[in-house]
Amino acid sequence: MSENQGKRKYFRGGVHPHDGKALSAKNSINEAPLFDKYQVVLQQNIGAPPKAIVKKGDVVLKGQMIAESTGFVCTPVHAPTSGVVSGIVEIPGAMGQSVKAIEIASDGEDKWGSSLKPMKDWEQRDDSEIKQRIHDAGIVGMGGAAFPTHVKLSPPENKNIDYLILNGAECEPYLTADHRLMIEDPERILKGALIIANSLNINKIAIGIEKNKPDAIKILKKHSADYGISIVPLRMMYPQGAEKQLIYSVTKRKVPAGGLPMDCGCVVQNVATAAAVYDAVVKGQPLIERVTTITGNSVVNPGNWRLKLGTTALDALKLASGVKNNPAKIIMGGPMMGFAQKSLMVTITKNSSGILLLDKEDTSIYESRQCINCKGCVDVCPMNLTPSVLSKAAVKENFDIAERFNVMDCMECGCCAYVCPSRRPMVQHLRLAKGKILAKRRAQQNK
Amino acid sequence: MNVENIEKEPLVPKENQLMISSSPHVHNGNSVPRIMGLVILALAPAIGAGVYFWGMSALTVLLYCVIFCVAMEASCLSWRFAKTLLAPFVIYGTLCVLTKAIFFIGRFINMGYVSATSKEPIAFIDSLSEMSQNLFTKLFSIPEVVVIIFSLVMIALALTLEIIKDKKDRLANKECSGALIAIKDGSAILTGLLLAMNLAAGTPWWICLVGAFLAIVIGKQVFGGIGNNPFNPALVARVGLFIGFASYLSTWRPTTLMLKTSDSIYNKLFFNNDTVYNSAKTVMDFTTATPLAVAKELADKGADFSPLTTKTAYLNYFLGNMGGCIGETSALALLIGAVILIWFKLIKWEVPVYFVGTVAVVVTLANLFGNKPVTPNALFHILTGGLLLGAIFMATDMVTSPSTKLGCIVFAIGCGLLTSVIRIWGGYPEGVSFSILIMNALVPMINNFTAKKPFGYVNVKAEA
Repeated sequence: MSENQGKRKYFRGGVHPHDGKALSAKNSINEAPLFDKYQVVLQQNIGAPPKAIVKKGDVVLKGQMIAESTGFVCTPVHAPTSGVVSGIVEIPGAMGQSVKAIEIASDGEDKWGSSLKPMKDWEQRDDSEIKQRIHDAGIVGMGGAAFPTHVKLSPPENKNIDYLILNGAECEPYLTADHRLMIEDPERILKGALIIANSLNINKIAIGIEKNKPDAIKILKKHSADYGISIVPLRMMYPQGAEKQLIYSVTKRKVPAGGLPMDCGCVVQNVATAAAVYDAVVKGQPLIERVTTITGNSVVNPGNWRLKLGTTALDALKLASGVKNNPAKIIMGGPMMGFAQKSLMVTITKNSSGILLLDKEDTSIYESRQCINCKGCVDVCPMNLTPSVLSKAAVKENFDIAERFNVMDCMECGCCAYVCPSRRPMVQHLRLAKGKILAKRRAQQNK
Repeated sequence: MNVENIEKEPLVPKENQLMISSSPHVHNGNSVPRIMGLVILALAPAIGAGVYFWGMSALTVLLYCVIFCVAMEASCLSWRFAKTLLAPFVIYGTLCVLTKAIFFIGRFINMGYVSATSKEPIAFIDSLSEMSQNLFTKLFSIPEVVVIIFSLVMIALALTLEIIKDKKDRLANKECSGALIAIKDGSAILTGLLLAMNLAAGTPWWICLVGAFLAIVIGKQVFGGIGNNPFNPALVARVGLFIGFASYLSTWRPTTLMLKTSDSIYNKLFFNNDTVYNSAKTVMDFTTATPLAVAKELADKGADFSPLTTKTAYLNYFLGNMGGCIGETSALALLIGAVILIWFKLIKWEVPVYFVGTVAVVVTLANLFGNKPVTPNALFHILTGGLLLGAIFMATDMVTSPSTKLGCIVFAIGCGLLTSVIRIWGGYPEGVSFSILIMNALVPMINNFTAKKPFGYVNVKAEA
């Protein structure tokens, strides 16, 4: 415990929004029926875009690779079901831009055709083989960032990794996908964690879960004893699931500012990612489906569904019996960091943890005022920044000041805007500043 | 529900009615009007105490200040945003400038006149002085009711025109002026209340008017309105008035309680002599001094402070039964306000504690080094004068204090140091308003020096 002496018990700042998880937390994961067509977004990872290897008219089988990776930070994409490729189309992406997607018309047979062989004897396999499999199965961080998992598992030689943390915090309000997965599939998650730890040659594994999921904590504690994995109940506080905050809560280590978790010897994976790793390695199944929460006060039957990648939000919403009244916003992800959508044709991708429909009463309708310097944002910023100063600097286009006050450390968790009495769109301001500063840095590098 | 409805295709949202905005999509419901309302709630005990001690003469000052401040704000905003109502702004502005100008000219000439009387009165200056004095009294003999009604009409007019324009803009899908949002936040009411709390009971209406002009127009709107003012508007007004109209700002009325009790302290120290006290019939008839002013006088004479620091005196100071501004006397009421503010997390407890603590430490140290006390003890300094009002409501003003907690503590300590230095060694008995204004000016610098280190900050120099 000497390591933890003189440190704060909790990470600093954070907010506790109304979590709304009761809407869907008790509803077990439903299997979705087969839809007529799927539009699989080509780039579902951070990094380089993969290249499509099928063309219009090709017949594909479920689990067959339809796009191959083009670089190290890139993952392949697989067909969610068997059928015919009806073309490469432009569809609205979750971030508001239009993206390329491979459209597959389902043949209704859902026939497997994956080239990946199950590795029942994964403990004997070489690390690189496991990592290659994780890459081949197209696994990315399923918590939201969609960072390719095999990259996270391949730290540079000089980094000493000794701790694997599974993220089961699910601190975003409303979302319950990870929660249900932990209750219903604890074995997959735990075995997946073992596989990841094995490939990194480490034995310290912890799963961080927020205390508002006592059932999940109980079930995982029961199962984890056999595996030597510790379950860490975490304080209910958004953003508990943010990487740096989670690492601090579990290990009391601080990721250096501007650094990555591996700089303090940690690797963080989402629980859903761990389950996907288990499927990929032991069952030989690539990542073609995920658990998604469809919820909101105006949804008729909120709940959790196992959806194939490429399912449109419209189809997903019909599974939940549609809406009672017209919602004000449709959000891919949670209410704090998710993206508001302008179209229902947006599709489920590897990082879609939820489709959230917010009523006009739930969502904030902005009429932003002048900052009155109330210091509310300063108190809640988990990165210990001064958002009020940054936001004012960004609005005045004083990006140098924003940089000096460390805007680049902002992770856009939205705590500042959540508490702002003047309802300033702080995250938007800070994103603007970050974008401008990045552009400036890139321009300087190119010189 | 009939069978048909169930079999129907599920209802899905209409795409053209979806809103798009940056995350986060939820909010905790806090708002500027709520903050202002809570601060006003916290001020309520102190306002109540003021009204209890001075009755109608305090209530009218509160009323004037609030109405004038809201009127100034309404005119400024409607002018700034919509350029619809230039008139009230101009009228108010001219009135205020005239008030000040005439008063200053009058006083200047009067001074010349007084110094000249010992020799030969100069006829020209004499007549000019008389003329200005006549003008002065004429201007300010406008019945108060007229001014109040005028102000209310102006507010109503400005708001009505704004509402009409706002609705028109909304219908035409144009961007709204924002004046309505700004006026609805209640900050002008708060500034008005704070201004009134810094004035003496029975202050004439035109002083309140000038004060409102200084606070809202000079102190706030010229910088760009709420959130942009570097100085606390109420204190700008107080100091401006104090320099311009010193006599009005340092003439204190005794509280109604003082007249009922025949406490010897008040007879001997606060009232000039017993005869005035005995002959006085009502509160309006005579004036009193604040304990701090008496202490200053005693200090100048080198006298003992013991009459000021008896048990009865302390009880009176604590409850607020002494000469002073409407809002500053009752320590009890201000402390209740502080509890409300801290409870609702509107201020950090560190600010008042460090402010008051610094004053206490400096006063104690000043008395320790020396043959005899240079000033009454720390408790006296805490309970009397504007220290608690300043520490709880002025130094904690959100807009004009530093952005970080550390910065706020530095700010509070600076205020405390300046206050005690002015009180003990300076020329004024009071130093709170000056010290807070000086520290306000230093806020950008404090912000720079107390910039926060991000989570996981690594000192690059230490590593290298």
